[in-house]
Order: sequence, then structure tokens, then C-alpha cells
Amino acid sequence: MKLKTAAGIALSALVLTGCATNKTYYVDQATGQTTSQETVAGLNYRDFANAANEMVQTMLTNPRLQHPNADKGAVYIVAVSDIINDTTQRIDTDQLAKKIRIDLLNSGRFMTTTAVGLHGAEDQLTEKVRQLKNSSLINQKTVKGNNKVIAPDFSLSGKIIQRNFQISGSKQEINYYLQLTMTNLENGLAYWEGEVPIVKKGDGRSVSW
Amino acid sequence: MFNTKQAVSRLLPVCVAVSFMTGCTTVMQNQTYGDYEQKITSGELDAAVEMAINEAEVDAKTGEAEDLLWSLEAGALLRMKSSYKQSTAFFDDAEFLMKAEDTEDVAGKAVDGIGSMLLNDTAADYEQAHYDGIMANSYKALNFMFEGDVANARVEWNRVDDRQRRAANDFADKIAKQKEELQKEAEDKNKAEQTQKSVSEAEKIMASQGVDFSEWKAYEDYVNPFSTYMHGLFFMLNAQGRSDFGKAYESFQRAAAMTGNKIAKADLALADSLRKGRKSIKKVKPTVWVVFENGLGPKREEFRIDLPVFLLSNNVKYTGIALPKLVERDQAYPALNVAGTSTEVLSEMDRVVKAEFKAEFPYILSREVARAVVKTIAQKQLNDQSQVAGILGAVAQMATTGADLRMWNSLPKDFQLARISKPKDGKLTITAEGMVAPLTVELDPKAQFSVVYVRAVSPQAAPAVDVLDI
Repeated sequence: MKLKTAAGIALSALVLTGCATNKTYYVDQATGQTTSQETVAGLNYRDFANAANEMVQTMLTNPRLQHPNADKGAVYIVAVSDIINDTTQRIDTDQLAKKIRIDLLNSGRFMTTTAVGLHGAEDQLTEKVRQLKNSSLINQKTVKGNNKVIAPDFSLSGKIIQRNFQISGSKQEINYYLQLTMTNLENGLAYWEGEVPIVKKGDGRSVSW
Repeated sequence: MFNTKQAVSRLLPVCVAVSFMTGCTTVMQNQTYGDYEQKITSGELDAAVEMAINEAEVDAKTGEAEDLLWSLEAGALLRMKSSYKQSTAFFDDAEFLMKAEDTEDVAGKAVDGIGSMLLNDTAADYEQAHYDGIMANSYKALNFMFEGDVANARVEWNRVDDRQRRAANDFADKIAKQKEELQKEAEDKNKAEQTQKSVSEAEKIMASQGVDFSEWKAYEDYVNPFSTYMHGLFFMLNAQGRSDFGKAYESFQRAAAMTGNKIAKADLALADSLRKGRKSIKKVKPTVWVVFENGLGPKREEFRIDLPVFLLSNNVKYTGIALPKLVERDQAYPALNVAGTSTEVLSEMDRVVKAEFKAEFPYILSREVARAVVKTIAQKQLNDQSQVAGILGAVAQMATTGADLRMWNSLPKDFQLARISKPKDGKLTITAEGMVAPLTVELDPKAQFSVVYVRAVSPQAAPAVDVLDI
């Protein structure tokens, strides 16, 4: 490999390669044209940040997601359910969920519970600290009591889907769909659903991961 | 006065040394792969793993393997030891190297091209077959499944799907290109006449060697039905929503159509009921799938044609070509018997490998013939200068003429499948014709579904058995 690398570098000096054409760019979804904005084939921080921002904006304009007593400071409680990564990339879906949680919290209209989750509590201390009741070490007046933890009103679930299309031998279009749903846990109805497509075009000579 | 005989006797040892120094390509490859195969089939799994890891050239600083082919070997063998994390790490490295090979720039390809033109195909980096990538991702997906990591298994099965799509596209392009080239050559009769003559000559000799491509037929779209089926099984057993049952249905439909396997057909019917909501997965009776990865797939052997040839004249001492041919290896057992039923063939890896080899062969052949032409012309020119130089040239040509025997050697010959009702006590006994002692498997009686995965390389090596309870 090393010899080959050295020889390759030497030859590179002689051969002008069109490397620029192998980069990945966003595709303008309105026109279908490749933009000049460079990106990566996978999903990066900017993709998550933009998608989260776009989704939270539409959540905040949705009247069904406004607590009836919002003017008195009441907020809805959201539990984060599964966000399924159905792509070819190893993605930490918590990253997307976290961005959305921060934006929702900052909006002043939602709070997230870490005491209730699909696969158990995200933070198990809420339950564990109540086991301090019998500890002689702990000031019992400070031990958190039962019947205090707030149950969630909404569940946030979602899926990230990927579709690849070969455009020519050397180019491929990679479509991602970030889909989220806010389900009202009272009645099981989806009060809000959002989808953000992200389209990229890049090197088709190899796989996109 | 120049004495040729004296010169030859003096130079002969040098020539022999040169021939060894230049690789003796075939001898070295045969020794390495022969040794490796012997270790696997005799049950020396630890020694085989050690060899594969050594050959994979793991960089001490980065911890990453640098040899693609041996990373695949290491990954496959480590699975047999249930060392899933280590196996996945080698497959990850292999995928990284595959990508580098796919996206190699013009300069890198030129180096490969020049090297292989002067010597032989082994001078170039190993370029993966499509089935290499598909199997690497399939094995990784299985690793994650057996570790209980459903999220990462899903990603790998999606990768399998994408690789199968890419393979179908690539083969379609390749076939179209070959047709176009044939048409062009038919239009220009003078072009490459010498090469054409040699190609047809070589094909005749190959036919006399019993290599008949007409019987080698790909599965539809060059798909590997094993991977397609297992993709379906994963999405059915780990469905997170109805669309996953739809995915399972599509994969089973494809696998059943390609193979006619009755379990695939039964699973297709089940996935259909599930996707339509006619049946709930919770109501499906407890079931065990037995997946049997059997024997060893084909290996490459050299097939040498010491040419007669087109170019042969008194000024040329040796010319010839060396080509790879596929040689089938054996099953470990004809089938596994479990709970009154037997496993049946789902997919023949032999067929998958042969189909891809057949599609690639015209390129291997034309490269080798072109190489022989270049080397022979050089030899003749050397001989025109002096007979000794000519002899040296002939020895060098003989030594460097060698077929590329590299391929993933630890893949199975076939994949078989059985599906049975889950025994209440969770105990299964697996037997096979020629198996020394029956295999006893314990399943979690509380689990609704179990997948028993058996990998048997040969009757001499103890089968590796893994259980996944869902």
C-alpha cells in the first residue's frame, strides 16, 4: 500500500484529475438542480439542526399543540419515544431528538420528561432517589415524595428513511426523509406530523456510507 | 567468440533466482491459500483466525486492517467463534477499503494498471466482487442481530439492500458495454485482430479443460437470495411498524421467486398476512428457523496455457497465459435433520460466485492476452539484441505469468433452511449424515421466536452453533 501511495502521489503530479466532481452537494428540492453548497453523503450536524429548527417552527404554529392554560404558564409534557434510523448510516437518533427537545424547551411551551420512556426512564434517578426513604444518612425532609412525577401528555416518535438513486455510473442522488410525529397520549391521535426531506447528490462510484 | 551454452549455464541460476524474486506468483498463492484452507477444513479455527489476522495487516497505530481480502476472511472466521465485535470491526475495515478501491483516483488506477500489465493481476490491489460487499454487510447484520443490537442490524440490512441494487445496476451496465464493444469490433475487422485470435484460441482450450460458462447462470439481477431472505426475516421478526412487514414481504417474495424454497414461500404468506393486518405478530405460534451455512464455496485455481501461439517464432523462447478457473469444493453435510425435518437449499453461493466470475472473465482474459502480447514482443526485442537477453526475458515472462487466485475463501457452498414449531422444553437435537456427534441446542423457552445458525465448514471441523431468541 505504501509503495502504491507514493507512486500514486508521483503520478498525481502528472495527471490532472477532476477531483471536484466527486464531491457531494445539496440539491434544491424546488428545482431539482444541484446547488453549490457542499455537504457529506451522510447526515451531519447541519442537517439535524436545520431539520429540527424547521420542525419545531411548524409545531409552535400548530394550535393543537398549545396548552389551553398557556397564558398562565402551563406547558405540555413530552416523552421521547423511538426515532427509528432506517438508513444505511450509523446515526445516533438521540442527536436529532435532543436538538428538538432543546428547541421545544426554549419555546416555553413544552417540557420533556426523562422519567418516562419507551424502554424505561432516560434518567433512572427520579425513581432511585425515592429509595432513600429509609436511609439514615439522608435528611428525610429532603427526600422526594411519591405522587409528584408528572406523566407525559405527548409522545414524540419518528423515523429517518433513506432512498438512493443511481443517476449515472458516477453520480447518485441520496434522499433522506426525517419524519416526526407528536401523539396525544390521551387519545392516541397524531396532533402534529412533520417531514423534512434532505436531498444530496454525490459520488456514485461507491456506496453512500 | 560468444558461447551461448556457457552463457546459459552461467546465467541459469540467475534466471531461476529472478523467477523466484519476481514472485512465482502461483506457487506463493497456492501455498498461502492451501495452508489456510487446510486449517479451516481440519478444524484448526484458532490457527486459521491467527493467520487471517496476520495477513490482514492491522496497523499498530490505528488498529485498522489494511488488507481488504484478509479482513473479510478474519471477519468471517471470527463469527464462527462468536467474536462478533471483533468480526464486525474487520468487516468495517473491509468496507472502508472497498470504498477506497471504488473511489481510487486516476493515478492510483494507473499504478495498478501499469503494475499488472508488467507482471500480472496480482500486482494490483484486490478489487472486491459485488458479493464480497453484500456478504460483508450480511455478516455484520447477523453479528448485530446475535448481539441483540437491532438498530445497527437494521442499518446493515439496509446496506445489503443498497449493495444488491448497485450490483444489479452495475451488471446491467457491464453487459450493455460488452455488447457495444463486440459490435464495435465487428465493424472494424482489422482492429485488435491478433488479440481476438488469441482470445478465441484460449476459449477453445478452456472448453477442453471442462470450463463451460453456458451452464453458469446468475440468480435474477445477480442477487444473492440468502441475503435477500435474511433481510426479510430480520424485518419480519423485528418489525417496528407495518412498513417493516412490507419490507419483509418484498424480500421473501423475491427470494421465493428466485429459489422456490418452500420455507421462503411459507414466510412470504406469513409476512403478507402481517402487512395486511390480518394477523398480529403476537399471535404467530412459537417458531424456530434453522439456518445452515454449509461447506466451502468455489476456490480459484490456475489454468495455464503455454501458448502455441500467434506470435511464436524462433526468436521467442516462451510465451503463455495463465488464467483463473473456479473449482468447486464440498458441502460439509448434505443437509441437517432437526425435529423430523431436513434443511433445504435456499441459496447456492457457488452460483452467485460463478455468475460474477463469468461476467468478469472477458476482462480477465483480455487483460491477460494483452499482457502476453506485450511481454512476448519485449522478449523478442531482447532476443534480437542477444540470445542471452532473450533467455532472460523468457524466464522473467514465465515467472511473472500467473493467474490471480485471490478471492474470499471461507464463504460457504450453500445456505440451507428449515422452519419448525418451537419445542416446549426449548431443546433441539440436530443430526446430519456423516456428523460425528449430534448437536444439542437449548433455546429460551420463553422466547416466541428463535433462529439457530449453524456453520459447518467440513465434516472434520466441529460446527459453530449460535442461537438468537427473540
